[in-house]
Amino acid sequence: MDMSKIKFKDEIELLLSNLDKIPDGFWLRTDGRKYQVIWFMDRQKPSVEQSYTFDEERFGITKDGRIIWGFDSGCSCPSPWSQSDYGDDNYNIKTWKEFEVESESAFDIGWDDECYNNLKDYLLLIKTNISAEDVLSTKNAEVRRYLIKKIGYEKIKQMTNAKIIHKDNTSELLDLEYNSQIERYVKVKDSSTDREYLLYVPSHIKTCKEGIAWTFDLKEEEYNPILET
Amino acid sequence: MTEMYRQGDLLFIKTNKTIGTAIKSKDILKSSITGHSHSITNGTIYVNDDINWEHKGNFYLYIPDEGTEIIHPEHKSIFLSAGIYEVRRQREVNGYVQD
Repeated sequence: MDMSKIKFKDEIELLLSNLDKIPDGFWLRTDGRKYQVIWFMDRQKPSVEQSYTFDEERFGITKDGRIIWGFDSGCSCPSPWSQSDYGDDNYNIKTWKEFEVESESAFDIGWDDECYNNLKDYLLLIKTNISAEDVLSTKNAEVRRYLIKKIGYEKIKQMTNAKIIHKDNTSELLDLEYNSQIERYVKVKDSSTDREYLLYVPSHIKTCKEGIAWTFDLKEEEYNPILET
Repeated sequence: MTEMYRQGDLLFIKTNKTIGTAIKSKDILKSSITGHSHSITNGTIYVNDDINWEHKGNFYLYIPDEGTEIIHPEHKSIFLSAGIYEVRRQREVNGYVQD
């Protein structure tokens, strides 16, 4: 699906029907023609950044796939519901089964890069058949880390014809190939969490330590932390 | 050799300069994915208002005589002694390590 332009009801529902798991719920908050993805960290209330205001147009996609129209400011379709119909003062979501979008008109949703990347990242977290491109094209290293764990670091190396340039304790500097391009990454292991990350570094990097130093804009010989956690 | 410490994707480099405006928050950086923050228990964060949150040159810490703990839910704490520290954020070729 071309996510650069999504028509409201039909394509969102088609998108949901192709997912392995229905999201617990996420909201798209509009600001003119721009949208940002917001999702609930837990299902009780949004996180601090995603403050819940009632004077902006938005809609939600709920666990059972219903589309809930938000507010009617600036929206091409009037909202038939009031605030109390779908949420209480503490932002707890009520069950939505009794609601359904009846409006026939749809509108084009324009995604700016940040919105697209965030939604794409979120959908990757619940996707089952993850490709090397899915992993390596993900900008967020934390999401990438999760995907690597999901399919396995050794599997990633197999999928990308990994070539190890340098090894150092728990780190590896390697070239990974996908979509006819080769990218250099340094694999690091976090000493506190034992999580493994692949960090995209320039192709001139020759050692693991040089790669890690580069990520902090330091030369290899300048990077000497007294403590790393 | 410059004194420095790393916690997760943040590097704290001791320096002798401060740039920017003091802020009230004790949170240096909060992940929009996990909601976790790197925070100080003591001291002041300075933000360079002229620069968007780039990987360096944007955040400084002023740590008083008692020192501070840098805390994070997933990483062991780091103790920083008194002084001024530049905070650098880990980067990749295509942007930041975390958003």
